[in-house]
Amino acid sequence: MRISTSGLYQQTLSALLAKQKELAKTQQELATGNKLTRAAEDPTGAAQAQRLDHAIASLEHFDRGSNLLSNRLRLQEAAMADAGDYLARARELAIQGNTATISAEDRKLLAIEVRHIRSELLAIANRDDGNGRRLFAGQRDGVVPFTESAGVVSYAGDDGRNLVDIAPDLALADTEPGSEIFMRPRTGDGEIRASAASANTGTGVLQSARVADRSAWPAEPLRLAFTSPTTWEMRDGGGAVLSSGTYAPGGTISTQGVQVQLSGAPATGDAFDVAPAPRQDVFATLRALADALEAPADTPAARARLGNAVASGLSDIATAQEHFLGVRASTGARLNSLDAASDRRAGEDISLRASLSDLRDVDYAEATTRLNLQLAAIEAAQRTMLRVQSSSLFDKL
Amino acid sequence: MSVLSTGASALLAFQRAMGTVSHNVANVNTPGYTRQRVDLEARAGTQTGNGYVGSGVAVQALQRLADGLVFARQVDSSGELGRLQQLSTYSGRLDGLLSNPATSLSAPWTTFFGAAEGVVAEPGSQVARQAMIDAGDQLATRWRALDAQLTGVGREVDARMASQVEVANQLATEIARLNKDIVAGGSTPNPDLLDQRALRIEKLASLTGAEVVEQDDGAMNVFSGGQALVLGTRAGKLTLAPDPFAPERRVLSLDAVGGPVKLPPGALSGEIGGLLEFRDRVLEPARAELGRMATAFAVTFNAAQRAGVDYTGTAGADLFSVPAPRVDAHAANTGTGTLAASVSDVGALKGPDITLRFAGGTWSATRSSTGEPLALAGSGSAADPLRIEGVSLVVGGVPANGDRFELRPTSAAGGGIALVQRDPSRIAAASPIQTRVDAANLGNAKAAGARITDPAAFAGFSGATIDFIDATTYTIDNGPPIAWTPGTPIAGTGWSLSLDGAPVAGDTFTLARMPARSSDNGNARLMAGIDARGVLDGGTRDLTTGLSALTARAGSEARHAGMNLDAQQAIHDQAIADREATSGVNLDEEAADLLRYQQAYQAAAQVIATADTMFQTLLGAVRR
Repeated sequence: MRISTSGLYQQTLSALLAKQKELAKTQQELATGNKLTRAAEDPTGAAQAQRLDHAIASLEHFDRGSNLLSNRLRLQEAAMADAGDYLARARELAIQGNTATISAEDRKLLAIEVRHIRSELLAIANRDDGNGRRLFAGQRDGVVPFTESAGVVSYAGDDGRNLVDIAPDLALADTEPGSEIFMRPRTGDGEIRASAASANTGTGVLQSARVADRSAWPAEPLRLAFTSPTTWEMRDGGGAVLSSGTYAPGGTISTQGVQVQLSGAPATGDAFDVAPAPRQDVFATLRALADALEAPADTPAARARLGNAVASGLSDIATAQEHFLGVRASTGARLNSLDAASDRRAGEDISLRASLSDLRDVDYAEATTRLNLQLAAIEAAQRTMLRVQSSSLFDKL
Repeated sequence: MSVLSTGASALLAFQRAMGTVSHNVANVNTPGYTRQRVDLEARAGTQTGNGYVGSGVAVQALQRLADGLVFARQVDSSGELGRLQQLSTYSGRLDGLLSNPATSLSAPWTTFFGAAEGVVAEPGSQVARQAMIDAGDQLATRWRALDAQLTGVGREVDARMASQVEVANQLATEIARLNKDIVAGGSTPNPDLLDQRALRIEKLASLTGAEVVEQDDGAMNVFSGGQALVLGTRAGKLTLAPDPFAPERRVLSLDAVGGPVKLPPGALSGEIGGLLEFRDRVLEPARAELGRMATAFAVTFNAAQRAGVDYTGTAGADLFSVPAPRVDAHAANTGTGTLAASVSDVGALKGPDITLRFAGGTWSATRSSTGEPLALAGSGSAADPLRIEGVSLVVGGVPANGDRFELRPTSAAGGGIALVQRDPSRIAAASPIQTRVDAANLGNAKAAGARITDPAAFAGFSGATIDFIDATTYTIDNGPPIAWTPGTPIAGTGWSLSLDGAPVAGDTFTLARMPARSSDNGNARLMAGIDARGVLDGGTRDLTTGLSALTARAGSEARHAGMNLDAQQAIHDQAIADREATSGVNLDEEAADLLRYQQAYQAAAQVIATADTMFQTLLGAVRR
């Protein structure tokens, strides 16, 4: 085929230009480390890279939520630990106060300490998370959740609990609402609670009450009324007699699936209430204990009242302690989940980044080799162009 | 004296030949130049007794070394090359805009949903809420900026098309004029005029695509898109006329030699065809898709916002505004009908334009680009609007028979999306229902999540009480007893509530509207999940995928245009090489010819000298 002079020139020139274009692209890849600067180079890869970028960024945002949640849960755990310690101390104080040898003045000192514990608990319940949010106000912002008025603590928060997303499709609960922790622990042994009627005149002291037979226990308030110091009747809420029996001091009364153990001698007309353990706020429990410790115990009946009050306070506090422990355990479980989620996020991050790197990152070894090859090719093209263009028959004329 | 005249004829012939060689050498770098060659021919001899004696040489013809078939191929590939060059250049621009992190949506998109996660983590924090508002503003701004960039590319394409149309018209006129000159030249046209015409035809082909047909009289007819641009000595004219639906848009039409013709899409090739194709097949769909994403995002987000309660305790208001679908009436409409469009179903929404026609008392719809008929529901009244591809249209006024409208569902959305709520406390992060667990409840059931199932039914909600008669039966507001199964939500009028744990007889849960200053994040979680929620295409695709698909589509267009361009370039290079093989000047060849003719010229001069010597010899003999 015939070759024209300008054709020859054009041919070598366009080959050279094409090689320079490739070289520039390789050089850009090497300089940026990115081989996907334009979607045109790999449209599906670019779309995938965009989604991966979004997914990786989302994982980072989970980090932030997770840190905040972790902070709040740790504070909740610490608060529960502190509250548990205070309740343990209150238990010791109650036991001390119930010994027969203790003087009225000493009991007053004990009562002062119980009231102190109560105010410490109130402070714990009003703790904040360091970011301006209360730990135990539920989903209410801008309120002091627990306030005391005339000796009664009331709750201004709500019962809501946020879920915080900490990993794709995984959300964990935020701190418990304060109502759940402080306002609603069960009393008694958590199932049943017995208490002496305030008008009792005998020396009967409740030692324990428990459900022995759940199928027979009606789960309703019942009243154990003494018709004489040795005979009793179990009545329901309407006053109807359900069962009756005889009592010997120190003996156990078993009826309606309930076992009630009494000591001392109840007087005729004395009564003991047995009911499904109600919920009672922990501040009221401590207040009742303090009030009982302060009350005079100069008569056998008053001592029996003290004994009853302290025994009931003791079991209420023990149940509240268990309640706190339960919250602490679930907090711990959530903190574990947080750690697991953090590991999961790290793992996902690595695998997402690996995919992204495969799609987008330059293989430097390969790119450098390519660059060298392209440089060599350009040099060859330049040299041949010079040689070819320099030979002309006109020079020889 | 035949020797002298023979020598003289050779001198003249070789002079002419050397002149042609030097013309070739002189035009070695002239674009479109076709090399010329002198064809020599022996002059017929004179008869002598011994037979014929030659009488020298004559220039038989000055030949222009061109090949019509190669030229046709070259014209053909020029048109295709021009088309692909424009398509590739502008698709590359679009791809760059959509893939460059500095101009694309991906960065602000991710930031916005990151900020939404921030509100999930700290719903009460004004800082987190402000960050979300700012990120939303940036996202909307970037959306508008990207749309403005695409619109700018569109304007550039239009301007370029206008100037190319000018050039094409100029070229067509020049070709017609050259045709006239060439026809006037008769059977021996000026080869340099032919070159000029070929060059202009090739340029015109690269602008509009062309097919050439040569007439017997030597005139060259140029057809483009089946229509005559140049017919003999007459030239047609391309015009950019306003679109009857939207005057700011231009459509190409041709005042062909036979009369005005509307050019269907894809009729033209060449640069103008490439620009049109880019505008109609790449740019406009990309803008419509960008707008579709904007509409889907704004509508979905606003719906989520309305489902919640903000920090002031009021129901959430729209955070973003997005323009309604645009409806343009045809310029020739005679009725007073108007169509008011709104988006009714994001999942069914599509981008491409739709033509609506009122004829015989009924409405019909076709896809504007293809003419494919589309299903249209409804009557057009406010109660029963026309419904098509997720858009509702209410007819106002009285349309006349044959009136046409063009619906552009999402084109304007990308350029009009805006953040309209700048008060951070108006982010509706909280669920609308608050559940209170009665303090005396003995069961351990807790409310796990309340949500709105029917916003319309919920509108009248003022509170509700759920009482458990026993562990498995409850009433709502002392209504009839309903059996409760653990794990099954309790459903009220427009709301539903799940309970965790086991309730017992006498337990009570009270539902109320969420008050102000709630740090509930229930609704914020739904908002933060919108990026991954299937809202497009009947709920099958999420917005993040939709946006990345937009990038992928632009990239794929650019890639294919680029690959086709490379292929076409190779074809074109081959056509050029073929042309050069026949018509190109080779300097070495010319040098050799020059040498050849120079030697021959010298020899012919020698013949004359010899004739002179012969003559002198004869004269000398006579003088003596």
